[in-house]
Amino acid sequence: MNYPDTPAHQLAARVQEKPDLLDQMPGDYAVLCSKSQNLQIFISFEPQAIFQEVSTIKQRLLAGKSLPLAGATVALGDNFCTAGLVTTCASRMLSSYEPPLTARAVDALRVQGSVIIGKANMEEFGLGSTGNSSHYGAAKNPWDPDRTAGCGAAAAAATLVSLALGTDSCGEARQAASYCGVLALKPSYGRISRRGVIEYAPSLTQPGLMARNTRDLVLALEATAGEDPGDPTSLKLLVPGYFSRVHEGRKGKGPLKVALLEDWDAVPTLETEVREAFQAQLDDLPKAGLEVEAVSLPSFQESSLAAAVISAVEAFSNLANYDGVRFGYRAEGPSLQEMYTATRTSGFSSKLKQFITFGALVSSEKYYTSYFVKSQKMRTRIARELESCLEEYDLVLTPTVPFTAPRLERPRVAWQLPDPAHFFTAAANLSGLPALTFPLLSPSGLPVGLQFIARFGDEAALLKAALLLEKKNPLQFPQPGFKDQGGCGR
Amino acid sequence: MEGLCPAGVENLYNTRGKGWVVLKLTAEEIVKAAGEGRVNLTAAEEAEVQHQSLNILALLDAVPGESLNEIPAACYGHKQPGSTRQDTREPSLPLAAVLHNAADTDDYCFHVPRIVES
Repeated sequence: MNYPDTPAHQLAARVQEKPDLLDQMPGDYAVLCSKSQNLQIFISFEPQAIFQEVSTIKQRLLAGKSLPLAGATVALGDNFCTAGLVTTCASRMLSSYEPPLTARAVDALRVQGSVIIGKANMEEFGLGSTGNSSHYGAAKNPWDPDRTAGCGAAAAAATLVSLALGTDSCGEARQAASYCGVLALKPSYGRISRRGVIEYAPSLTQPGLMARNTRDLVLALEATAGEDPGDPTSLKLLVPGYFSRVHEGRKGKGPLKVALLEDWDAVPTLETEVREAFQAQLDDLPKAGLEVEAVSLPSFQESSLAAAVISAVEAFSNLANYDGVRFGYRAEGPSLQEMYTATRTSGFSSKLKQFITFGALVSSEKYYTSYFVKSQKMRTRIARELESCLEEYDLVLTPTVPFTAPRLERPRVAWQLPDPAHFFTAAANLSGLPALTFPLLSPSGLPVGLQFIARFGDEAALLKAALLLEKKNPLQFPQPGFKDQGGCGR
Repeated sequence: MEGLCPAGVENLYNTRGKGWVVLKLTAEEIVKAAGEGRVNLTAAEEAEVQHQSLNILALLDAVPGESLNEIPAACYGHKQPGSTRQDTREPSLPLAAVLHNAADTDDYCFHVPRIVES
């Protein structure tokens, strides 16, 4: 059996029947991950930990347990806490930090039989997806190692794992999935516990799930969704059985009604590659069973602005506790105040320091009402506009990112306000609505994404749409380090 | 969205229907904000923050404020009725686990950097 290529749902069925199949996994992964080292996808990878996890799962299977994700391999963004394993957030600041607890979402995946393969590279503290702020160097895109991968989506795209977890504050998980050609789901705010997730913008950040096919995404959501008393923002809403919801018929409801953002192609940063791939898919959507109408959402274009201000102010506050006293890295200074500043100056990347400075600026009395409060009002308006649209339609449709994965050697524009990658994705974070990106290929063969946004709590509609598209667009993936091997394996 | 601003300490831009406005964002304000965030920036980083801040503040100014007068500010995107939990009493994490990353200890003391205030 070829572990990496086998979808999680098929793997679970086989392993459930023959637990001995798990024996080959630790060895296979040690080889695979060492082969893909040039892509810098993992920050930490511990074969011994994999061996122990596999042994535990095998014992549970032999004891007669039914595990829907038995043997499913997972890459965790390195801002998901794992007790006993270093959790760095791709930052020098936390380069030696071992959390005292494991994130609730990680525990939930393990309970269902998943194996954590490693901690994936990412942007420092999950801020953005350009690939230029990780303390461990940028994760490279398996489709083209000269381009950014964003985060753990690369591990799924390179068929190193079946599933990946990453955070999504202004769309980062969806952007990485769009760059790498996999699916990503940001559920409704509170649907998956945020306990044990190190975040920079608490009102926006959520765990995002990434996978290579819709059925695996459904299984991952079923495993991780649900109320968690340890997370004050966790939803008390009943979690529907996603698998049955996604597969049930529409029963007289007709096709899914989709509102297409009217001026999606008026975005200045929209690349021709994305425009052509998205337009071609639009033409095919009716054949897939989706009914599309263009709808005006005038506030949507303001979402990346509001998200930039709100997330910067939250980052300024939320990252203040990294001061050299309570966590890992510390630089010396002649006084306590100077030690704080020296620690943060050398512990954070240039990009993060600048972002924190902007957050501090907008938090000051002079700018607070004019810009921060204004952004919070814009947030309300954007959420209301989307919710109103979704009273009439099942889904809102946009491209995921206006461009393909940025080149890593691009001139060092470390950051940009607002981040152009957030243009289509930030609205779902501001409103707390669930959103999903589905992978497409551009005319030149680079991945791009198509994004759906759904009503609060209605992740099933997103997954249903993805399943319909998947039937029309069989998904394909590169091999790890394909460029060195003379082709992408498509 | 119109009106991307050129870099500069002082910036002119056109807000929709309101004529020309001058936005001043001084280098001193950037240095002060960096101090609030407890980080030191290089001169190049200060200039970049200034440039980026001017850009985004100008874009925000172009969003008509009057249209937002009746709209409440939101801290969260979606308020789900009854979704906040009651306070609950839970067992604490083991002390050793919580203090694993804390400063070094010596019997009853934590080792923290010497404070020499002038």
